[in-house]
Amino acid sequence: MSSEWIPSLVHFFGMMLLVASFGIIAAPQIMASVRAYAVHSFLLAVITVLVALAGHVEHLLISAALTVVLKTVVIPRVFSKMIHRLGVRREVESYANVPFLLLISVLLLFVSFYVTSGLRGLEPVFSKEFVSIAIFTVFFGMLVMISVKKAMTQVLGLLLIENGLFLLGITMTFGMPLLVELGISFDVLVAVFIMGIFMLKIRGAFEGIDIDDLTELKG
Amino acid sequence: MTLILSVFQAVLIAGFAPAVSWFIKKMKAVSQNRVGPRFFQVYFDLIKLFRKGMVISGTASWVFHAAPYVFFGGTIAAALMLPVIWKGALCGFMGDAILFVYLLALGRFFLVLAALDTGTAFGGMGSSREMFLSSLAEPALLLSFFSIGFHTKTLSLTGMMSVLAADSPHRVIFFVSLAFGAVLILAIAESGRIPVDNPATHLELTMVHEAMVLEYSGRYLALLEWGHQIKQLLFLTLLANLFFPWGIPDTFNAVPIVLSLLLYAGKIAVAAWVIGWIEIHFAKLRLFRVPDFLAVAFVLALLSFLGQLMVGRGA
Repeated sequence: MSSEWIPSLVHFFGMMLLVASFGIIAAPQIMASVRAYAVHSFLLAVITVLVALAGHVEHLLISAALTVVLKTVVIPRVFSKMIHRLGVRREVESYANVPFLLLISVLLLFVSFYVTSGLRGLEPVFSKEFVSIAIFTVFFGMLVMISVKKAMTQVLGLLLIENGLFLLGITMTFGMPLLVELGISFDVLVAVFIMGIFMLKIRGAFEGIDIDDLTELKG
Repeated sequence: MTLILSVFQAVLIAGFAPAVSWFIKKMKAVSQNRVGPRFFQVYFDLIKLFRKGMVISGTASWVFHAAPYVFFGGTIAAALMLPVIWKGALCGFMGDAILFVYLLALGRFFLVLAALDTGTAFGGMGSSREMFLSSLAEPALLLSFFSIGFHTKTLSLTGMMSVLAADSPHRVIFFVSLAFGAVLILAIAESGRIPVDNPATHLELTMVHEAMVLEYSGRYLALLEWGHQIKQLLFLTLLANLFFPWGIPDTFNAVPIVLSLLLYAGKIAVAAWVIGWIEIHFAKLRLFRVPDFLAVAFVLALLSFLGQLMVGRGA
């Protein structure tokens, strides 16, 4: 691959990553959100491969492979199992309508680009725009967590934050040591399982996973 | 020569538009195991409508009579700005992209007024829906043009196309791909295709464009139908020529022009196939879900713009 192609490719995948993030919030059904998350993770893996190729850091390839296997195959499957087990309504219900959420996301994007452009002494080893995109992904994960009613999608928000941190890691320092990456990946997997069990418990207690019901817990 | 070719482009669009409509209809029919209309049927329909007499409501004012001409004229004027088979257009000038958007808006505005004019319930309903949707579609279209204009440093459609054609293909694909997505969604919305509006039904709950032209008949209806088909082709041409601008000549030799004509027909066939495919595979969105769909177009256009703003013009 010629060096002239890589910036264009990286830009393209960065933009596609953003589109995938927006897909999570614009999707009408939970499964579509999960699929958008899978696409997001896959694009993340592609970017990791690009970084690995450009910087000659081979251990990132293993991280990328792990990302593909765990986040684009295993976790979406766990989610779809969970949705069947829980028998929840498949529509995403959020506190605000989709256009409004999308506009807020764009605003968040502006904020994260603005915030990172002011940072001095920040020397990413790879394309600088990814720092902004990574920070945006973290913000966006939080937005997903606070804007949707179902506990299911909140887990998705958490996973998005993890994706953002991963992206930040690979752009700032060519990723963490492989051992740490492995640990984080399995942590995420375990977290998803545990939260799945949690949701079953919540469903048992409240007959639904609508987080509005959780306010009943207050004394 | 320039003049002849430019006029020919507009005539081509006007003549070709019903054929594109036929293509999508036929595609849909075949997918449902029906035979579908013959090729010339769409033209016969228009001719039949042109010959027929008109029934006009007694309360109709001059707006009702003017609207079909304004709609058709505005669409044709917009067609004159679009480079079709060579790099040039009759009315191409700096900033014609903006005029392009607002000529279409002018036609729509008059159509909405005319639908309100006769005072029927359907007309009012169609008008209110049309305005509701177009208020979302129009900023997205302008923003897509701005984002392409930012990349190409010009706001003339011809200029955009020439710059994109001269650029290396991978840069074009990477930097305007999001705007392409936005314009694709807008093409569907503006030509009243399925996820937004259903052109094949007169069901009260769903119709938008059809509700507005319900009071028209005869010659006026023919003009409106034809204008609508031309508008659809205009958007397909935008998709084809702005985002896949290669192989369009800027000389007057006969051979490249003929080749370019074939290429254009091919590109339009592919674009129409995509629209038809979407029409076959998707259900119509509930009216209040449509803003979500159009918001996606808006956000795509905004992202395409933002992406270039933040990372520089294709660094």
